[in-house]
Amino acid sequence: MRNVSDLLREADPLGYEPLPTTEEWRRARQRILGAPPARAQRPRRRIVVAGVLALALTGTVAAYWSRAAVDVIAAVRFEARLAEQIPGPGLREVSLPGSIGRIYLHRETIVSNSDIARAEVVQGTGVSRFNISVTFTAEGAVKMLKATQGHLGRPVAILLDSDVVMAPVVKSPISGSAMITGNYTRTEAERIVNGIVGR
Amino acid sequence: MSAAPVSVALPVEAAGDDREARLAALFDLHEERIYRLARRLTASADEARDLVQDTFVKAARALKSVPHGFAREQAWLVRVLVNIRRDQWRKAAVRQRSAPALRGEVASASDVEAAVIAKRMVWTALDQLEPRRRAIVVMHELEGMTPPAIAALLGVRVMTVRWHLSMGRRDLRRILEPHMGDGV
Repeated sequence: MRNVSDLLREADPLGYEPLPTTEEWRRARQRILGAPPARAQRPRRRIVVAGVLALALTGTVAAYWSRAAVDVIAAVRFEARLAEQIPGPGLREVSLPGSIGRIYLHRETIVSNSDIARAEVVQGTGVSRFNISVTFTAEGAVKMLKATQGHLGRPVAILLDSDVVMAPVVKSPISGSAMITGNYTRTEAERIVNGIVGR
Repeated sequence: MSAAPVSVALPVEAAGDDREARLAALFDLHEERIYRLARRLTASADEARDLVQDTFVKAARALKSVPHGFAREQAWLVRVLVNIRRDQWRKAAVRQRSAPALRGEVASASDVEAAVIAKRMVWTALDQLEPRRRAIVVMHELEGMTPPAIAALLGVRVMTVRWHLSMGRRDLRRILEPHMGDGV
């Protein structure tokens, strides 16, 4: 004896139909990224498609070159990694700067220099003199979000040149940007910013 | 590099203000969830893809009104998707689709074909539900969401969700009764 719920579950197309392929997603993504910001006069479809393709091609080439450049030139290596407050297998113990605390680092890097779209020096308040604001690329933001949304209440470590400079506890998933609130001088903060983005 | 003393606060802003990066992140984070719902609100995978595209194009055109934060972004997209579907449904009068015709096919087809046709018929029966009701039914029956969670996602009252669930089940039962087996 079957009820409405059983019939629906049996008929659910997602039970037997494949999801769109990566290629289909990529094409949909391109079309969407090419959509105009406001409802304006609707341009001809062929022109839009050509424009999207041209933009995508330019973007891909530019991203490839800028990424390669960042990897080579970056003078300060930036990394974010998940960490734990208790030791565990495969975790590396490190001391926190300016305190007696210790954390235990995961091996995998979530994001690094090539995932940063821009970094800038921001004047702090109180004890923080100058901070560093880091904005991730779209891919970087997704990586951070995916990593941190399952890591609430546990630390994420920010490393500069392999030194942990801070390890705040994740209170909500991190995505678009992060602020490195070190008590830096302007010169030091600028050096790091320039080093991170490889200028 | 010498590490300067740091505070332990990490002020985190939502996604950056760069339009394309935000839109790309929005798509990458929510595409699958939105497609799954779209597929369950439409008759075919092609229609579902179009619906996903319309939803994200709407987001692209009104990016500033998309709230920040994973759950709020998702709720915004789901509501837009359901509203687009409601507009399409009103225009297309999908309700007149094919359940009686398919019922005839079941009797004459082989077992395997009959099973496929029966599945399709059940799915087509959903077309007769108003899209918001259908969304509520599939979120509850197929995604396992509770009425309070659905209410929060759609921005309606829990009582409204329960009412749509009850009415949706009643409508489906009426359409599908011949296929539910004895005693149901």
